[in-house]
Amino acid sequence: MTTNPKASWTKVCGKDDLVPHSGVAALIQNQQVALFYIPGFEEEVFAVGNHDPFSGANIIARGLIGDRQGEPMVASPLYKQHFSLKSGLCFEDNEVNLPVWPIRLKGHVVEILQS
Amino acid sequence: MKHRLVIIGNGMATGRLLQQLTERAPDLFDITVFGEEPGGSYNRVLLSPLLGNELKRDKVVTLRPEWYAEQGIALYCNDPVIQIDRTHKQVISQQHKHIYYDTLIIATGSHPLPIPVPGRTLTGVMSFRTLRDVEQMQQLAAKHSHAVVIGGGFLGLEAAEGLRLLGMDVTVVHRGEFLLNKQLDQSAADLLLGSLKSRGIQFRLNAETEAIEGQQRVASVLLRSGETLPADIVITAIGVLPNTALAQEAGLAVERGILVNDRMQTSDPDIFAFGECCQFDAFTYGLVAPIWQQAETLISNLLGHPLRYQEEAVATQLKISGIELFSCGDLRDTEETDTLIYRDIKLNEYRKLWLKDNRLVGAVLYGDVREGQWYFEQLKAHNDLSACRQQLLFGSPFCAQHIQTQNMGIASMTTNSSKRQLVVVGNGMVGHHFIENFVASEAAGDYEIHVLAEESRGAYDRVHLSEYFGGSSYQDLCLIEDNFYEQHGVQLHLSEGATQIDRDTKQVITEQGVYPYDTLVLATGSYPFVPPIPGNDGEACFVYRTLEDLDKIQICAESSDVGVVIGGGLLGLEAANALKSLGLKAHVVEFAPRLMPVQLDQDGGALLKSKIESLDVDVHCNKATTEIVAGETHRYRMNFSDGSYLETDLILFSAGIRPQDTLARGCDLAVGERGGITVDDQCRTSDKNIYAIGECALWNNQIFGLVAPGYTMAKTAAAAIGGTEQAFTGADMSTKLKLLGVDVGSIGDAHGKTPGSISYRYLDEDEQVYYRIVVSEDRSTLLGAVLVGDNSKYDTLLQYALNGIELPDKPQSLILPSLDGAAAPALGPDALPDEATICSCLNVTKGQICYAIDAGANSAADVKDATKAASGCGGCAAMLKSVVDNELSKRGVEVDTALCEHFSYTREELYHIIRVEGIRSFSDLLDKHGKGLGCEICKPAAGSILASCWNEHIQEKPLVSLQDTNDTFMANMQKNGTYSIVPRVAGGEITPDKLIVLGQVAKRYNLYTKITGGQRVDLFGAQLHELPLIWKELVDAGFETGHAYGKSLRTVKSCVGSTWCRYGVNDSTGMAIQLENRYKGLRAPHKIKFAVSGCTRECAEAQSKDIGVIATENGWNLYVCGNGGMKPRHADLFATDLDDQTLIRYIDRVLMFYIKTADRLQRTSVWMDNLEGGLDYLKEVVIDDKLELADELEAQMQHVVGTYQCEWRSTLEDEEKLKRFRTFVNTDEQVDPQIVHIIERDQIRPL
Repeated sequence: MTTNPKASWTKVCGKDDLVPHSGVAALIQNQQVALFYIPGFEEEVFAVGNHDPFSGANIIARGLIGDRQGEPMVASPLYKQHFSLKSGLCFEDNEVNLPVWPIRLKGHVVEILQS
Repeated sequence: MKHRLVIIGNGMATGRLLQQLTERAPDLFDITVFGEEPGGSYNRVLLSPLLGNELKRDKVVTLRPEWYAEQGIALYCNDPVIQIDRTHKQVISQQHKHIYYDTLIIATGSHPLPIPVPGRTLTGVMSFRTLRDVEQMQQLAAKHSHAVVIGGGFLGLEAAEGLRLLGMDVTVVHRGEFLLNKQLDQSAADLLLGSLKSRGIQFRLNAETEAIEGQQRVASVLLRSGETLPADIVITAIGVLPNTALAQEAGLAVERGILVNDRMQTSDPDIFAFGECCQFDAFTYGLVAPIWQQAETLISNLLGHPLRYQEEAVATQLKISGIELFSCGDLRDTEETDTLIYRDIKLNEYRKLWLKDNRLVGAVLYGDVREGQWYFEQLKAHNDLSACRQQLLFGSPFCAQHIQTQNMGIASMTTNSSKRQLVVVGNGMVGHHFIENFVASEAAGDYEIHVLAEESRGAYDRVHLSEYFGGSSYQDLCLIEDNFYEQHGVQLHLSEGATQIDRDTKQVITEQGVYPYDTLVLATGSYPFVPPIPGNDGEACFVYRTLEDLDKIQICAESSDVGVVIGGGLLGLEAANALKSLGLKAHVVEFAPRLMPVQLDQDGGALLKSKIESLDVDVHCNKATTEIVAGETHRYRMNFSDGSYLETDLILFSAGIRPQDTLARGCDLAVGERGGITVDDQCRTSDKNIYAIGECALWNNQIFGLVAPGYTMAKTAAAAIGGTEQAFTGADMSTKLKLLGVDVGSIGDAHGKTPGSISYRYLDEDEQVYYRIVVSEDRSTLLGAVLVGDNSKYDTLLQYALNGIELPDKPQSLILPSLDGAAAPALGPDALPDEATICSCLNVTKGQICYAIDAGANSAADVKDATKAASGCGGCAAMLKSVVDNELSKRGVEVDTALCEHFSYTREELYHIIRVEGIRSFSDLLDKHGKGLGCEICKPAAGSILASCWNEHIQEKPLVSLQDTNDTFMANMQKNGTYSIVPRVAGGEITPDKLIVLGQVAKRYNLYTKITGGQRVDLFGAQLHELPLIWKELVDAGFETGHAYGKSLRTVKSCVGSTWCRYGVNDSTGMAIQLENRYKGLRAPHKIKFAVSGCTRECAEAQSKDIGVIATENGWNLYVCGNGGMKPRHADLFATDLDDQTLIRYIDRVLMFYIKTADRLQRTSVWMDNLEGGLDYLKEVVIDDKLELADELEAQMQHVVGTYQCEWRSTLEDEEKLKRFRTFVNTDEQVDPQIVHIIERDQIRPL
């Protein structure tokens, strides 16, 4: 993931819109993004694609999250594949990955880096 | 006075009725039979082979006149009834007998249709119907040479073939275009015609008879064509007419036949009719199968069981002069049907199938008819056969895999007609085990297998017979897995006991037919020995062997208070328990000085006696019954040789068994002096083509009355017939059982009869246990043992005895209690040699178990599947598990019980931790007992446990992130990310208004609607943001959440029960609603389904549910741990006749114990299968409160019940919670544009 010089941090929603230890979905420039919030973890917020490549449905935000060997992950609620929240990579099939976006908490605002 | 039953007619139908009735209810009726013909009832079907001298006359007669006398039936032969006087309820016969009836049965049969041409009364013109007809035909055939048969139906052709065999020139005159035009199509008929012609029979088809000519005697037959056929004998066979004249004159409703309802009742409720004389709906009858069914219906109704007759499709299977024909269904070619035809000119075979919408509607088979039954089943089942259309003509071996998903490996792919015939007589436990073994062998494909069963029901578990009184049904006890016989091409003939074996022609004869055999297996079992005590034949004297026996006992028990079992052996004590469970005061009378004299010694017997007496069963040892006479306070008085007596209402004989060897004696097979068919090590009898197995077989002068040796014999015989010799070398007769709740074990030489042997005994009168071991003179090996009151040492002792394992230095340590805390030296699984038998029912050794583990089995359950170990009596289950666990750990297989990488605990342990430490959040649990962030395994598991324990709203902040998406959004996610919604409809009961609301909501939100299997309505296709809107409307209309999304109680299915249904005995819907409202919202390791049925018809299918409740006359029967779905499991009968409160208390306890101990996502069925100690253990915990948990479990359940809230209602009231139901958090646009539905059958569905 290289930083695009043209990219800029944009507000997505408030911190209150996030659900601790769980996910919500946002629509950003016609793209569905799943946002996850793990309070107290080394990185607290994550943004990955909401589109599940296995089922074709937009439901990643509704998956359960946790960790696999310390790597934060989300489990697809339909067919239960696991994806890394950091890299978007699928644990079960390394040819599949979700898109990821840099994301940060700035005070009470959730910001995403987009081009 | 006994109920007077008068039967008019003594044909096959009556014969069948009498045989069944006298067997099932001897002495219940005072029976009178009037027959038109001389002699007893005979088998009309066998008249054809009799005519052609292919069979002897005595084989045709089924009931000799003496039989009637033995049964106390008054038989008037040659004396037809001429009038039925309904006013006085009497019949009047030709010979002026006036006999009164309470119930009258008309079985007058039918008569040949007279031929409407001149000359029909000439001498020599006759029909083919009675024994007398046959005699006359034979006499005439001896003197004359020309015969004409008028009628080319089945009977006509049989007569023609018989006369041809007697040397006559025969011409058949037939009106139709082709022969057998009712049963065959033209092609098959032409083939038949060709064959019969080639044998010398001549035919005139499309021919009308103009006249029969002659002076007094017949001389010729004139056809309309002008042709004259010379004839010394004319047989008319143009059809039959029901005999209705008597009934009509008596004013009964008559059309073509005597009209009957589905109980075989005529228009007069005291008069029944069945057989060829009756008419049910539009049907009259000529074939045996439906008439047998009518007899069954009639008997059941006479005995007070409201069985109803149902018209069923029948197939016709015929054999004419060795040519076999089969037909069923509709054989007409129409525009809607298409046909498949197969013809093999060389083999002279032909098949034609008629299909409509890919379903079989008709079939004709000519030559090779073995697949007929299979086609018939396909026809009756309306199976869609499109998948195997190409192969359909070749029959089941080629089609089965397309039709049945569980193809059990039909071995044979051969269709040549060289199959050998295997006939098995008897379908008890051993007979069935033989079939199981044999069909699995390579040789099975070479055989066509027929099983002849005397009872009306297929093999069932006789060992657990007494559970029948506990509420188990035949289905529960049945040993035959669904379609097992059909899948393996085994033809099971129920209610068709063999009556004779003809070793010369190698045929088995039944009442309904003849079965040729190449190999014959006798598995006829045994019959109960009834001691020759005067008065032993009273109507309340029974034996205890078949389900029919139990039916009779049950009926009699209803009018009895006291019951006595004569015989204090194993079966006798079981029977005593059964009487007790029927509510009788039970006594056991034993001739010997102690109970179970074969298995127990004096001390053991005495302890057992005292234990059983403490259970309110009186035991009388040393009593010889001299006579049974009328009693003063009860039905009978039993007088004993010592001058004492006992009064009782009901007597059960259980004084041992005798091998059922009548068939073998009848055909001069070698039998033992005291009965039993002599067999060698391969279970072969004195005739090398005949085998005998099980209780009827005598090996080395021993009869084996236990299942295990019977099974071994079955295996041995199956192997021998299959060509691989193995030897039966006797059997271990050790037994371990629970009698009236008392453990009893007996191993080997229990009495210490071995010379030089010594015994160690331990008797503890306080704890009520007794152990004895018998060891060899040199103290090195265990010879035998007796255990009463505690069987925990049985497995170890048995292994010592069976495998000759060297005893420890002080053998007594095996039975002495460990007072100083040192455990008795149990025999570890490692000490067992490979050849040690672990499961003696199925004869599975430790070596075989190890082999199964090497082949991949990973648990006791896997090994059970692979080897069938512990699937017989189940007594070895604990032993099996310890061997398996030990072997697994030896192989380095660590059974990792950790829930996931975040918690190294099992779910049960976590449950305990959460309860005991009062943990209320996942983060707390993770901090104290886990690591990392958790995952999709531990989070929902913890969420479920927290809910089970504390029952807080699942969307509370600390809990919401633990929930699966379905729980999070309280709806079920479907494949495209939309949700389905299921409101609760408790018990499936819903008002029209509420139904309308569901419809309105579905319409408003454009939802797809479907009725679920749990009697409610599922609404599909809602998007996330729509859920609160929809639920607002539903909650406002009074609906609650249905928890279809949760691992929690789903539905309680019910039938309408006694409120509406004429059969219902209790209010099942009311109970279902009560239960659903009690347990709704209860979160558990997995989903839970209930059902409540209002009677034993079980319309709610409660036995396939986690909790099943079935109403009885006396309350409710509770079933637990059933399952439908992927791996169906019949629920286990847990308790019977419960009142409402007890029912609920037991369900509380069972469910909470399940929640406490099950694995995550483990349904109750799997939980039960893995529960150590199984059903008995669960009963001990729940009913006997062995763990002293009952109060706690109930209190925990009460907490959940008391804190119920409708999750949707509370969510709607909470803005914070509603925030979650946004498709996107950052826009007002909420519709996911990628969700697209199309319309199918007027409703939406995902693209």
